[in-house]
Amino acid sequence: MSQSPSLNELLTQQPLWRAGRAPLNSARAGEGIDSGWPTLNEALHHGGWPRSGSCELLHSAVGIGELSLVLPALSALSQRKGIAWVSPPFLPYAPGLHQQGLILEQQFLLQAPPAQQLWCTEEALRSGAFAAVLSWSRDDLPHRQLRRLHLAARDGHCWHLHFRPGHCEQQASPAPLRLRLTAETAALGVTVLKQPGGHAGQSLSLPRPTALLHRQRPARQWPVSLPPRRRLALHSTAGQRAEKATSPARASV
Amino acid sequence: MLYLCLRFPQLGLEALGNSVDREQPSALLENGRLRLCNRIAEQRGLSPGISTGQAQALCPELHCHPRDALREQHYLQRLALWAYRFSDDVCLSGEDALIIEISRSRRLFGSIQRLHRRLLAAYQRHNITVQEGLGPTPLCAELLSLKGITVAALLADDGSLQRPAMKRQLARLPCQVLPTSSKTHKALHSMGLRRLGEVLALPRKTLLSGFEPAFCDAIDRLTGRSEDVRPRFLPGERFVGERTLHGGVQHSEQLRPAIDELLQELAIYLRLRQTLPQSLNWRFHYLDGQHEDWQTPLSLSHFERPALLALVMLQLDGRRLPGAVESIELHCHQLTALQPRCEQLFSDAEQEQRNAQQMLFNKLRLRVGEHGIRRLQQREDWLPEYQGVACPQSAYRHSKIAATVALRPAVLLAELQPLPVQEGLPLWQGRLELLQGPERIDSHWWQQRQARDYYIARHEQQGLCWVFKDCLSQQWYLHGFFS
Repeated sequence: MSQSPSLNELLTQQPLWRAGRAPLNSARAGEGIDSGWPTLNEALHHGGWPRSGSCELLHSAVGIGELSLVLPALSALSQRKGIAWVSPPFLPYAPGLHQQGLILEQQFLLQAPPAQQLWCTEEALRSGAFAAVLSWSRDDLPHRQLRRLHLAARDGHCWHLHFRPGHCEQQASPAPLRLRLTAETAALGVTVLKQPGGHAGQSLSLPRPTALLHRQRPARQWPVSLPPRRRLALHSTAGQRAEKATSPARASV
Repeated sequence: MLYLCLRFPQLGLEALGNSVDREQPSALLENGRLRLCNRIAEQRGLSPGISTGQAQALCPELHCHPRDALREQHYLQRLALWAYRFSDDVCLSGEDALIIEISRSRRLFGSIQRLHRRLLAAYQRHNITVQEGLGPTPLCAELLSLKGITVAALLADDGSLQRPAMKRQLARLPCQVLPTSSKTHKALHSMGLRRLGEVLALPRKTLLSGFEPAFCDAIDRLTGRSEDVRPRFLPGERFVGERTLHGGVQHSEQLRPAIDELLQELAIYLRLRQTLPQSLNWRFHYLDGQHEDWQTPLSLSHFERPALLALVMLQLDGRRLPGAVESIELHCHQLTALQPRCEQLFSDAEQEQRNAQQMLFNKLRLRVGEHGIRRLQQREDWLPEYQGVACPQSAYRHSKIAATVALRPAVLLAELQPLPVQEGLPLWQGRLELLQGPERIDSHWWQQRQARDYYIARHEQQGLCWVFKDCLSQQWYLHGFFS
């Protein structure tokens, strides 16, 4: 069966992966940005986040750890290059980000009116001034716009983190990497919907920090509310360890 | 020393820009008489000095323009600015000529011939009529330029001046070109001396005894016996550039060439002065006589014309021109000294990134305003909403504050969101489950006391949020998310 020269050219020159072949991860591992999550690095064929281009994070609920997923990588990138936050729905909180290791000097907040947001994102991606650009879109963006953003990110050698509502999962997207984020009781569920270089469909569960989920006893069960004799008994036995762990002073740390 | 004099015989008309049609007979008027005629008008028999009435009788289709001396002066300074690229020793000569010392720039351009070609091409590209003069003294070059000579013929292959040829040219000039009083001119005429060669052939003793000192001084300056020191041209304290658009231009894209030329001129000026502008101040003159001022604010570490042109065009895209633009003026008066930069042999990624950032911020500032770009900052304060702020780029001050021990969310709500309460517990998209707390923040007793108990809570979709109970009003609020 004869193949047209253009198809041959495409297969040899373009980074196309054919399902019949093994994933590219063995050849290109280490090309990506270390995500800070070893299991996620394993699941991604490039060994981490892509260095440029669009990466879609689809989620519906807020506060499930959607930023925690990318903060370790952003923290590493911000050591040498800027990070742009384009019109985020909430204000990135400096003390919180500082706790996560981000260099605050390198964080730029670009606020644009809705009509200018896409332009602003595209300019930031294309400028080459940032290592990563984070953007949020509420509505279903047309395919053409998504493609423009991806190309701008590729031209500007910038990692584009695009947070989109969960229902956009049904829409085709030119972003090479798409992840669905779901909330679990004590973890963040990540499903790879699409990724370059190999099969998708990997499901992971990334645990949330225990310090956040640590649950105190109700105030009425605190040791201070117990009768004096009982408290003495607690101090003298193995219950001492439990008492320390549940003391309100430590719990608030 | 080798001096080149460039005389611009049509300067009065050329200074008026595109408002003068080169293909039509045109003349410059002063005190009711013609001061200057263009080539076509001269072909129709007109000459400087005749009255307007005579001129109209001879050539009814003549376009007359009143003289604008100030404009001519600015124009000559602009021409001097171009010449500055070729030599630092440039001086203005009268109202329509420049004298440039070129021998010291020989090594820079390779040869005098090459320098001369490039200098001339710079003027000819803009259709500027030039007459040249070359000589070992400024006055010699100045006088030869009155006649207009072919400079290339006076230069030897090695770039040196061919003195015999130059002397022959000088000797042919009439005595009236000498800068002396009319009395001396009459005296020379009465003595039968018509050409400069005849005067220069006189013995020096005769000159010193028979003529006034000013005349002898002029001869000495011409021959190089005494030094001819002239004030050098220095670029002004502020930049002013102007371009006239023939017939007016309605669309912003058609303004691009004129804006580019103005920026090119500004780039030369800035390079000479080693400064950078803080803003570009534009004035558009419309055909109906109205004008409009607008500004391009800048923050630059270096001047890059193509990027700046794109920036101005971007700003212009967002503007609606109320009519056809007749002329554009560019003013730059707030100039800051250029910080010396150490150029590295290999590319400096950090510098490149800073430049890219600056250019992006300039663009964003034009489209979304100064407050569109903010930087995150941590501050010393008791209340969480003041501990982390996003301040404008201009107000950003670097501060180093130790990280707080208590857990802080990644994002904060711009405004506190009051929460309803059910059975003593707050609600947000369903029931909230308090995981840990309270962290008591009690502050601002000196203003309006704020006593808050902060909790980390889990909402029904398993997300973690940061809520607090106002201890004074017993009201619950949502303040952030542990995203």
